[in-house]
Amino acid sequence: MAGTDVVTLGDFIEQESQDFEGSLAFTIKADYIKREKLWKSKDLAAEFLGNFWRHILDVESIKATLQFVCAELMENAVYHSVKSEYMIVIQLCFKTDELMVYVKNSAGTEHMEEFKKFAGTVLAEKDLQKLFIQRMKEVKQTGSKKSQVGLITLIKDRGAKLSWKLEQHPDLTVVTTLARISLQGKVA
Amino acid sequence: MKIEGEGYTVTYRNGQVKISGKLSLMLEDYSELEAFFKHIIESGPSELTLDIRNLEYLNSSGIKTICVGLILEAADVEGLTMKILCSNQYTWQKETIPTFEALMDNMAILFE
Repeated sequence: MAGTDVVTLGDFIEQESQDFEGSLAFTIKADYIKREKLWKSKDLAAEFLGNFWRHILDVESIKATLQFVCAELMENAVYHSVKSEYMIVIQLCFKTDELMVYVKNSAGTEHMEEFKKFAGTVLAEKDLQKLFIQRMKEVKQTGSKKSQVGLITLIKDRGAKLSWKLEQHPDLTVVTTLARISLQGKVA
Repeated sequence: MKIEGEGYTVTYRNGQVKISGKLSLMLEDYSELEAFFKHIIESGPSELTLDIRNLEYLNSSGIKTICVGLILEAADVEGLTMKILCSNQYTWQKETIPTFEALMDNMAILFE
């Protein structure tokens, strides 16, 4: 796209290039409803997605995993969205061997360098347990609000594979986060 | 002492902190729970039990609040021992809570 600087972090795959068996999307303007209501809706949407795909796939364990992954990614989207006219989109796509959760939101470009650095660390780190403990101790020492523990937990505990696409526009950056959850060995 | 919110309850009595329900507040809304934990640590217990056996859901801001506001604060108190009571029925607890062990030396994590 002309005038747009695009960077991908990790093994990002475009939705358009995929052949899905099915998908389900929620789309809402970031500022259409009060943040508190959006927060509550996010929990309901995550629970619904967890239940829906558990039923479709007939895999009991996928419900809790999906609920956590969807809720955490939507929490990040709600926190970082900066422009009301931009949409928060969560799309859950199903392939025979994996689920792909795409969450798209706008974010302040000024935060992107810090985010790229963090994403690089998370993607390269082999010992995420160590990184988790280190982040908790740093947060206690510095009083920082940004623990990024959500993203670390998604990889470390929920087995999600994360990647991002950052599209820098003149006044904001559009961030698409992709969480891939393997279904291998889970679907009968 | 007790905090009751939409879908969750936190109580403290005789060295036992019990959190139950679904806890998924916005980051800034955890300040009440942080103050609650601070008060507990300052009351000077010699043993502390965190009972989350009925905690169905905890978001990452909640994980941060418990790790930083309660466990790491407790780790700084000399002689204080801690136990976390967990439930095998919640997958997230089995996946996430064992990681907490490295936050504090005198801590036991028990599943049932």
